[in-house]
Amino acid sequence: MKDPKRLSKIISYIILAPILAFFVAPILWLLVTPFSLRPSLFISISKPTLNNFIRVFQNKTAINAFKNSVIISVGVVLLVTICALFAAYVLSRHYFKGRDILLYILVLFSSIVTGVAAMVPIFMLNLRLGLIDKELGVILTIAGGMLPTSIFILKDFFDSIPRSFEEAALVDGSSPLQIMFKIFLPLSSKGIIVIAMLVFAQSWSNFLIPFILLRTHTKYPVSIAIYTFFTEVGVPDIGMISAYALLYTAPVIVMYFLVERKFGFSFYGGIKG
Amino acid sequence: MPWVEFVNVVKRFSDVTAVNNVSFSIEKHDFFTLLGPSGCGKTTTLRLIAGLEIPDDGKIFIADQDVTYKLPKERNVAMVFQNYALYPHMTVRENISYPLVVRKIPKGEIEKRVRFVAESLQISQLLDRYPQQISGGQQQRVALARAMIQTPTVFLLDEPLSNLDAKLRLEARSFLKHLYTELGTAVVYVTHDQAEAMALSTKIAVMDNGCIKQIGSPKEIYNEPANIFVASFIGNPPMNIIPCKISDRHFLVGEQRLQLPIPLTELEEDAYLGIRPENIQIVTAQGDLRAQIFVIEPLGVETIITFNVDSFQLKCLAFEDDIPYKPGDMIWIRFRRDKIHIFDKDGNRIQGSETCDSH
Amino acid sequence: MQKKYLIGKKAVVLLLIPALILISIFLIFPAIWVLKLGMTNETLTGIKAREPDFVGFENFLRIFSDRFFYNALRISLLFVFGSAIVGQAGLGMILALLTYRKSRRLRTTVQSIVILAWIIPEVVVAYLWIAFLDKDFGTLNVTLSWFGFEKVNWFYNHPILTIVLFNTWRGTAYSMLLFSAALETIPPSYLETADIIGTSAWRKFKDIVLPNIKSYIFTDLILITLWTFNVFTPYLLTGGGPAFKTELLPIYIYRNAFRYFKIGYGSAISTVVLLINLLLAIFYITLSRRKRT
Ligand SMILES: Nc1ncnc2c1ncn2[C@@H]1O[C@H](COP(=O)(O)OP(=O)(O)O)[C@@H](O)[C@H]1O
Ligand SMILES: [Mg+2]
Repeated sequence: MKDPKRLSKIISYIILAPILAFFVAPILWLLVTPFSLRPSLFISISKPTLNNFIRVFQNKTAINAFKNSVIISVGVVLLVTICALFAAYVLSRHYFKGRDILLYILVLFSSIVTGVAAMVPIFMLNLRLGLIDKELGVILTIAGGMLPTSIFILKDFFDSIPRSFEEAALVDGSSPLQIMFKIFLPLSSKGIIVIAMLVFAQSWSNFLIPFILLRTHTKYPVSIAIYTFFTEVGVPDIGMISAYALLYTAPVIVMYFLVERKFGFSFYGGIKG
Repeated sequence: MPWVEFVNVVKRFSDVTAVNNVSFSIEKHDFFTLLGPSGCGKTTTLRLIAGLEIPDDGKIFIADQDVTYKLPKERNVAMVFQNYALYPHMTVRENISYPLVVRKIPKGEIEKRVRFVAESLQISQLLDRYPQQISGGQQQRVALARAMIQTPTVFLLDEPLSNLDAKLRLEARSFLKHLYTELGTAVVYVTHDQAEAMALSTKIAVMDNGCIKQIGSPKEIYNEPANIFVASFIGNPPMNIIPCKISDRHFLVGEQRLQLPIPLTELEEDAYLGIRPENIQIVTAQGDLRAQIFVIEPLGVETIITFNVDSFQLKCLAFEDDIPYKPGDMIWIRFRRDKIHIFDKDGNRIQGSETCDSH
Repeated sequence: MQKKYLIGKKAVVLLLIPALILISIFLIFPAIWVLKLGMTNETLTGIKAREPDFVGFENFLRIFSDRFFYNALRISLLFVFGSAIVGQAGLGMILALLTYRKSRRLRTTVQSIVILAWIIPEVVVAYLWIAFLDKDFGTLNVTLSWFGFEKVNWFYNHPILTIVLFNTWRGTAYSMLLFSAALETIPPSYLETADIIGTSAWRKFKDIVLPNIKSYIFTDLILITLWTFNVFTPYLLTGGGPAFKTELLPIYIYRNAFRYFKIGYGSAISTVVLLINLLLAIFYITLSRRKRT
């Protein structure tokens, strides 16, 4: 009785192998090349070296871009997490007239107004507000775009926390502030951390918004810096760029896998769109 | 003055009237149970007492004070939620002491009281664990401890046993009954399990569809159910209710005429006859009704026998070891004369065994 | 009216306002303002940058006779069909089925790799693919040459296939994860019953699996269509070339607004894209609402 099962297993491995190779190849290149003494466009394993990373750290533009990326991402994370926390709390715990319509409008606009589709008015808006070539413009724009989804994810998370916790605290004699800080925030800290991490990863990776809003080289975040590196005239420095790209990618991967390990897939979908 | 009093309380949720003009009063020594099927408004009633809901109409008094519009924390009540609502981010000790911490009781005093309730609930060894790390039965005790530590005017318990498995539930029930004697104040208890209500309460309010159908001691509720709803809700198996006609001072059950005259003449034509399973006997001589045995279910101490009378099915409880019948047998059954209930066609009890008996 | 005690009316407003302001200004306002911008001949430089004229529907009418617009629309449709509907959904389904009821380790490994392709920042992904597809030294061509194939200039000879392949690689994770989750919702007993009866694999898929995950497939198709329609990453790979052969609608918008500084015309095309998004979104929301009730 074991045979047919084994056969189907072998068949599925045979189909899986090339697909996986297709997915792995470009990623493998990213993992190997930065450590390669003579980096090339092919996945080649030569003598390992950290030389490429050292050159990244010696590159002023690269380091400066890292700093800019941190500023933008941290700004977006703080703004989105705090605003989403407040809004999601109210939307989850309080019924008011028009709440459902508000939610509907938020879902609708957040899915149709992508940075790509609205890049022209977004640019013009920042121009009129005097936010072109300012980090603040990038932060506010990215934050506005990510807020609705963050609010939904947090609201869903809050909805899954039984009200009876807060009600028990209320009967036990707590004030609203005590309920907020002693009961609600500790209970929802997981969800808040998840949102913060996902927002960080997303704003860290964002290319288009800084690409259209920033002009000065010294203000570029890593995403734009890498783009200018590899589109530069002349022969691109493969080793340096790939090392830089790996350093830039690492925090995103770490955050996604932390979220995934702790909370599973359900949190992904919406925000990574 | 009663300890807790509801006066014509109404609570609506958009189109649902969860509590419909409910009035009752509870004395300080009462173990008062709200009993009824799921969705009948028990929890809402309890939440109204706690102040988690504000009534649309009516008044609520606790300890002589009008608390209708008071905040929960101004009412000095303690509540055990159906899911216990133990804070997962706090240890058992922190959970229990939480009500005192927010009321700014001195640390030493809190410590003393935690130790005391933990001991009386036998959970001292669990104090440093987290709620997720202890069993359902232990969680229930922790929830009770968190309520007991407060010296409230009234304890509110919402189906505290329903999350436990059957065996643990019986144990916890006995424990709860024992505990009640130590609480020294009124308990309002919500359950859909009639056995729990009977076992624990001094007073039961049977609810249906937002209304109270009857209030009384367990004995009264059992022996003198005010209507068919109460009669068929209490007891296991529940009371047999047989639709019948009355003519010439006799019941007509289907084709058969019950060999039992009733003394009342002003009765309407249609009525219901109620008889509890334990008050039906199988007799060898001619009895009240002819019946055919449908199934026999021995349960150890007692045996449930189901039989068909005409198009009705009745259940009877027998306590003999050997039942000398098998399904399909035709038998005679007899009703205990002093245990017959008569309900009018709207389901209200119009006559019980008291008057039947005198015949 | 109920639950007065938790937060008051004032607090509700105070807590909602920061989020609502940000969303209104940076998300909702641009989407509405674009209509007005599309009715002007605003440019980024020159006189019209100062005082743009109102030109009514002129821009929108121009779209209909703009062969570059049709080119971009056609490429966008091909891109969506090829990379989202065939590529991502198809490959996602294959991967989900191949890892369904298999060992946890296998599934975690497969999923992790596919997810990696999904979460790596887009600039990096673009760079990886430029290296991967390089004519002379890229991993793909070198590998193919081992098997005796000619080296292919992917970007030049197969531009659309290139971005379709790229975007399939990039986005399969979502469909795979959604389908895997969908498969998990089928009670094992359904398939076990079929096993006992002796149903063939294909019939099991057609009669048991497919009907049970139909709604997930619809959801997936609409969402990935919407997302793929709004992807800008191919620009980083190809810049829209060669000779506009990979110029998706978003790239065409970008070219008009930021290369030729034609804000008015760019806005008009943006409006068209937003309207297509709107249709897809309404479709999606209606569907997910119906599923819930
Ligand atoms: N917050 C609420 N909003 C709307 N309807 C409610 C709410 N709470 C209870 N109800 C409705 O009120 C009725 C009584 O509910 P409840 O008191 O919880 O019943 P029980 O505890 O007896 O099962 C039910 O029909 C329920 O759906
Ligand atoms: Mg209830």
